[in-house]
Amino acid sequence: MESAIYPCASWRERISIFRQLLTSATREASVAMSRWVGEVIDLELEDVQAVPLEAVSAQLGLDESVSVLVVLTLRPPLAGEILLHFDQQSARALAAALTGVITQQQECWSELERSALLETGNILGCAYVNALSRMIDHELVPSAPTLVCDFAQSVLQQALALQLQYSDYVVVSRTRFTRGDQNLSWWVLFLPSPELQETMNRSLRPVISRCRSSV
Amino acid sequence: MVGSVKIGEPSLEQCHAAYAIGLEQRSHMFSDRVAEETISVGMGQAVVGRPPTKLTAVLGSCLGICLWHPRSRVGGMAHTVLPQSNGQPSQVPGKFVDTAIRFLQEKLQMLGVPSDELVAKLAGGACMFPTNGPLQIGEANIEKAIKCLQAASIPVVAQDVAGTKGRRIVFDLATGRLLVQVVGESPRML
Repeated sequence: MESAIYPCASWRERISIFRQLLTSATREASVAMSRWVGEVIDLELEDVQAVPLEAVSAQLGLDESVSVLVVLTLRPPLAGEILLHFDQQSARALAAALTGVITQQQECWSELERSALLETGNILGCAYVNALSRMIDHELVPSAPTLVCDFAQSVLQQALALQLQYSDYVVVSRTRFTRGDQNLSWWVLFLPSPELQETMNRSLRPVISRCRSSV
Repeated sequence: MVGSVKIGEPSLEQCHAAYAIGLEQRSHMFSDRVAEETISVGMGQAVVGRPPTKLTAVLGSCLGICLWHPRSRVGGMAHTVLPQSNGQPSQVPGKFVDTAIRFLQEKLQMLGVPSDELVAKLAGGACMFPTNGPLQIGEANIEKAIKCLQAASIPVVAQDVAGTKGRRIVFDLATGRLLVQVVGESPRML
């Protein structure tokens, strides 16, 4: 991704707080994911950015190809969206590894494949949300996951709607997956609502202030 | 202003004037190039142009609003995200349905296109996944667009809206035709 664009200085500090929180949540999600797939999968927080809405697709590297996404929605008042994003080939490979069944179909997804991908999203999303929930000391409630095979940009638009009601910028974090030295074409996009952003911001700010004053 | 300008191919001065005004607002463009080009209209952007330009967008819950003047073949597209601004300022002219339609009308008027001869085509406004609460963004975008276009006396001559699938659209300003591509379906021409 290109370098972040911040609308003002206070955002820079806010983004820095989000980065600290989400790095910890990502570690817990790594452990859950490795257990689920039966091998060591590392999740690494690639970046947290405030991006102008017209540039968000380009900034996240979303082209016009068809992707596979598992969507988890956090229920209000602390709402948000978690999108687990794969290219089609990677989604097939993961489903095959989890189910032991290789399918040759190009467009349709079998029930078994759908279940495997939905459960992956569920396990990963819940680990991420539980860690975050504990750190901000507020309950976060994810919905049941939904599987969507479509243009990633199309799915992203609806996921961004909550944030865009209040700003022309969106806060988005992107996490990538690696297996050994190999980068996998999987990403987690996390899109917190303004209310959740505010709660995350409040939760860590006093800790940072204390650290600064003690230095 | 509408009565004093010539209808037809916009002059270079008119193009530059439209572009200069667009620069004041983020992400408005005017295509003034002679070679055929396809311009990707991102979220919240609004673009006007003339042939041989083609305007393209990928839509989910967003609504693509295409306005076209059949005589001069000048037109534009707004990639709208939310139904109404409620007075909220935005630097991106295509973000809200209500303000995007007005923006396109104004830009086209500057190019000598009278609003009462425009036609509209709509695409998008899908519900990509189940959401919280009663507000269905895609549906709300469609409703608002139809209402605003009605109020502006711009007829909607074709639409491919709602549903649960994303769309890739290509608006050809030379013909006014709108190509709609949906994953797993045959392309449709509106």
